[in-house]
Amino acid sequence: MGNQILLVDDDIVFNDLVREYLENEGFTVHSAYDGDEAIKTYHKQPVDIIILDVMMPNKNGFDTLKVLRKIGGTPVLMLTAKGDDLDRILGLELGADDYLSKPCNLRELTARIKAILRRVSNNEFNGVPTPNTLVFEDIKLDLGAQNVWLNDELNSFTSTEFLLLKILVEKAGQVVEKELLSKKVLGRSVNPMDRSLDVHIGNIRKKLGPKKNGMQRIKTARGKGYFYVNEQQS
Amino acid sequence: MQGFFWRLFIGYWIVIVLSALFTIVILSVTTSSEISREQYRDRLLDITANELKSINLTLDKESLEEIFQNAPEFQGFYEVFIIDSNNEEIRNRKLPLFTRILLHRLGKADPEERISSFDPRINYRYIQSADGERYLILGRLNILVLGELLLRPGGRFVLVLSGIFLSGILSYLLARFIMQPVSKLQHAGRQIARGNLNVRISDDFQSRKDGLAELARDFDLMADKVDLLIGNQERLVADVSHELRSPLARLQASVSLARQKADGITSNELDRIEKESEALSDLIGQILTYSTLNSHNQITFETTDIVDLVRTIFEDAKYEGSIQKKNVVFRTTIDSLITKVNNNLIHSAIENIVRNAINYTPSGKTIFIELKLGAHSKSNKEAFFLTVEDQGRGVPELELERIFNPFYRVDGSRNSSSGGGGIGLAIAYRSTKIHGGEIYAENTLPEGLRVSLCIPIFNNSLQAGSD
Repeated sequence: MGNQILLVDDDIVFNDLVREYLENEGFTVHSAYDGDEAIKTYHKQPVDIIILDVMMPNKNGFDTLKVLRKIGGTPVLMLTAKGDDLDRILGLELGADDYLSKPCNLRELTARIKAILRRVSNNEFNGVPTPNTLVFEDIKLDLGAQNVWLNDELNSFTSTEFLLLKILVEKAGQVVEKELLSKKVLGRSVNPMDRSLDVHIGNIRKKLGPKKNGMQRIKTARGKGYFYVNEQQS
Repeated sequence: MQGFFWRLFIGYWIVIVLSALFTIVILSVTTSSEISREQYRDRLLDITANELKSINLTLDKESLEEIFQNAPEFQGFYEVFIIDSNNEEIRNRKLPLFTRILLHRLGKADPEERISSFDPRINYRYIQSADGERYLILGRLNILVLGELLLRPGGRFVLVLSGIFLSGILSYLLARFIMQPVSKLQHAGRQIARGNLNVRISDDFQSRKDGLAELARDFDLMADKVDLLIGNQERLVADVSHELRSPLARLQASVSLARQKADGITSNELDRIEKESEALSDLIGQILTYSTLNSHNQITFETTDIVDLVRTIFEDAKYEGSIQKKNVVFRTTIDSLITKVNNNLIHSAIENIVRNAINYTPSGKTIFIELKLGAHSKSNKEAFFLTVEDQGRGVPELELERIFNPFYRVDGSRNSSSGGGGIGLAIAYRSTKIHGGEIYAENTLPEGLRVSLCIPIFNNSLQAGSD
């Protein structure tokens, strides 16, 4: 595959072990041992995905993520501390694409990485042959560059948020089940402990704001899923 | 506590009344000071009467005024009133209270008869003035004579009544003065027992400088110390668990790598290492969750459908149980139950109870999960009840409460085959308490354990569609 990964973790031994594992899986891995180094490396070497540990001295994972998000929309997978639920939600709110709690099984880590990469490439490939943009009411999704335009204003979306919005807009007016969203977007089954979807939806709501008539764009069908409100429903 | 207050109050009262009665009895036996005062009063009246006798009171106003001016002591503590046969004060002074009644009675009575005024300070005498007119001289000694008044036959009753009343108020205040701080201490002590280690009371005792204030300060010192010790211990557990995560992360990474290098060849040892390190990692996660449950500050509440939540746990449990040939049954009559809870905590509470039930149920038996509505036993608020019933061996009656302690095991054994980290029910307990609910366990017949959870519902969030 040869996808480029930036692996940021201050634990040198762990970093080396993960790098070796991922290299055996066919990835090219660049290691960084703290937040500043990660940002420097990222400037020099564009990568396909960043794996970012939360608990690091000096610049921690959240601070690093904030800086990275200002630079670009490269997918980020956070390694959060086990037993700390707030970390996960905070990470997702800051624009991480997914998380995995550490200590973790590296097979699981690989599966998550692949899920994110597949999603990114899916987004890209879907766009190329057919119309490159998807327009719905006042928003326009640029399927190639994964940009979202609201009233001709550019909004930066993570790949996860983009894919979520795309699925919801494609089926505007219909309830999309959580299970389906979770499988398609996060690549795993829905788990009530896992608030990822809710957080991602929350991020999209925040970024797009309400409709012109003050209605929320994406509504929750409790216990079922979400739906993007279309003209008749609003 | 209320009983103690009344005992203190009544006790004080009785003591005060008894000692007052005792004093009165002693005084009435030993003292005779009343006689001397009456004598003094009569002598003053004699002197005045003699002086006035020598004057023509009807015509010689000048001499009269002279007498009064030359006797300044009359102005203050001894007042004299001169009343003529028409009941008029000849110097036009206002007559004191009760004098009219006295005059009225004197007018009717025989001139020789002694009539006593209701006001014990007043005495009187008839004189023949130089002009031959008869005048009534009234003298009043202006000394506080409340005691004298009350000691008079009609006053005794008033004295006793007011004494009892006043001593009652006094006793009440005294009892309250002692009991208020004591009940504050008691309240604080109970709060500590309930686990609220932030209670401090010496601020409430700032106005006092007595032994109770010292007691309050000592109480606060104790609370500080307990808080510190428990805090230290919890921090230690949390810190150790934190520290364990790094080596464990390396261990798990190494196992993953080893398995990758083994390239599909199954190895029992690797399986075992992987399984145990995952168990260890789960346990550390649980301990950290448990220790964050102790610091309530991070907990937020979200709108959640409880039926949905329980059903998801049930689906998982059913799948998990089917592998081990155990049935899981979920019964409820409710379609949807929306309330505000911390999703993660309630989920892990219920999941831990269900997992515990599965672990202790032998193969081929059934676990029953039931969800229903009812009223919270303590607050009478609407609440939901979740019961999870297994068909295991149950727990000795005496140990039923202890199963909610961390790392408690019924049989004392530590083999992992009965499963669970031993902290699941403790997490369930804390989570329930944080939601203001109750959790308890009881044995069922013929065999098995039933764990019940009751959590009050917050109805103010009954809105669908958005969050």
